[in-house]
Amino acid sequence: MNEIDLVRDLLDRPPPPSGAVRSRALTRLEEDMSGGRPRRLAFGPRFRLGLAGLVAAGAAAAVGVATLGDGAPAAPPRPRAVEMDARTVLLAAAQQAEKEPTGRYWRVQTVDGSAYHVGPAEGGYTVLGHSSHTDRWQARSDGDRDVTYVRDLGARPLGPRDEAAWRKAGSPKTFKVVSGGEPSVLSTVPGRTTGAAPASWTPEIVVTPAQKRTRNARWAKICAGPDERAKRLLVFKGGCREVPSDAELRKAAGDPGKLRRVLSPWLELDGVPKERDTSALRLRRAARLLTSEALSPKVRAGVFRLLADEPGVRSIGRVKDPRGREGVALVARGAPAEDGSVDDYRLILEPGTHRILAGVDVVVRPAEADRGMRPGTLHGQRVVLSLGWTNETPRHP
Amino acid sequence: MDQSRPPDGDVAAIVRSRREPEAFAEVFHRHFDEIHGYIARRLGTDAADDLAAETFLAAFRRRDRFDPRRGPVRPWLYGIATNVVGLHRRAERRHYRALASSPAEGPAPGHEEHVTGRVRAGEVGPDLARALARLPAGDRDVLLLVALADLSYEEVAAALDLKKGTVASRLNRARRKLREALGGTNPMLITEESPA
Repeated sequence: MNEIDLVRDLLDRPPPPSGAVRSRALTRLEEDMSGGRPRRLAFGPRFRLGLAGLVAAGAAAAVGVATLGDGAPAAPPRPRAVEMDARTVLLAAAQQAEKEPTGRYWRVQTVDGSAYHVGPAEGGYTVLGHSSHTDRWQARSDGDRDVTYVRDLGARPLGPRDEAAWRKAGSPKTFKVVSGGEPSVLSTVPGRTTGAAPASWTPEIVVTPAQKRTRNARWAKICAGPDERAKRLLVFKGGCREVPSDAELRKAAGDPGKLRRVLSPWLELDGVPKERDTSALRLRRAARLLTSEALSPKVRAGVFRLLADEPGVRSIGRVKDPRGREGVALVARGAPAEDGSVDDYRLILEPGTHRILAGVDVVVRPAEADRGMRPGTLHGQRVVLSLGWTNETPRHP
Repeated sequence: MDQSRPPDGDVAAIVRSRREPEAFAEVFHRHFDEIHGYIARRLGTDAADDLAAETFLAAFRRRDRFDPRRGPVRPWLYGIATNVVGLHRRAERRHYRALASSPAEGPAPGHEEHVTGRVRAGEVGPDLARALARLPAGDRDVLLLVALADLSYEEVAAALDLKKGTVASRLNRARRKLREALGGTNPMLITEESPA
């Protein structure tokens, strides 16, 4: 036995991390990954949960996504004479966001999902998988707990046309798809897909005030220190830069350059190469901030105002969101991916209130693995069921 | 540095995650337990719960800098985990000192167990743990990537951004110091010099 073996023995392999530890880690990663964009991939033991009724009522849900989901050719934008342009919509959204009341928790309920093609390019069909319902309560104060609940919704054919093809194929309960370049199997039964959240709500996934204190202390120490590498490595949400105060934002509100400077830590895309740093990515990133982060009304308004100056964001007028709700869509074209595929990113707002209804990816040019997907097919979704500040006590629906 | 090597599933997931961030979840699912174990062995389980999560956040943030030509994903993750551990050097030394002062766990091995020549670290544990705490951080990183992560010299070099020769010399130095701490020429310590 040599000293390397002795070291192995001494530093005994611990038992694998508990489900709660994994869940917490994945929840944190997910928040970072989601960047406001719909999930496209297996999030394993994860905890985004799905609107139950939504999925269970397969038919209703399918109808809901029909406008985006059934692989019909992309509907051409239907701007009406009275449609507002993107800038007008976003400035109106900023005004409304600024007026929203705050509360103890920022609560967001979302239903995520990614589309996968099943079978041959011709004659196959598209399913929505890795779809889960998440109910996330972020405390405004570090003295309160953050709580998340997640539930898997199971996979299902995306639209009516897909459902017909699925029935014709014998209504299989599992789907062989390519996910992240690897073969993967989705199950229609909630909780059965590998890595999915359970079919019923997870127990509370909690970040305690003590954990927040530890984290904040560690970050503060790193930020005060000289180690730039550590700052980049460990401190998120804009590195060690301060979150802008409401006062700063108020001062910057009318000055796009200034606003960009104070908000840039929040919108910066660390390490993104120039060619992919597009309006689509910034729209996605902004959508993430506007949904996933507990931000003050002033900051949210500021983010909307920044978007108003994004040259690549267009309004395409009225659309239906994946649940079938009427919305106004802002769209930006994504950069071609390594595999040559191109998606549009759409942020769908509720007419009148300008609240966020959904962020969706729509196929412009499919990747090889998705070659059965036609342009216009929904590629991924994050549907927002509800969001806003609340004084209620965390609980799932 | 072979550019024609087909990407493994991990690499595909990372490449895909640049456009579809959620694809990174696959990397998490494949490696989280292992990385958590590595950090737990160096810092204890409580710290690992948090720092393993931070390792994956850091990896996600740096995914655009992952270069498939420099090797597979696993050593890359170990490199990041090692950097994260490196931000907690004092806690790491405390962890080893705590190991040194706690009695070996489990029943003491009977004589028959020595037949194979294996010696439980428990018998030399306190000395070994103290020696680990005293190793220069860079040497310890190399040693533990070899011992705990089973990385090859090339992989350690890629993980820590070192030259292969540096890896070899750090490893030799670390092993020598441990041997010395354990009584130098202890005949029980058969030190094959093959790369771990």
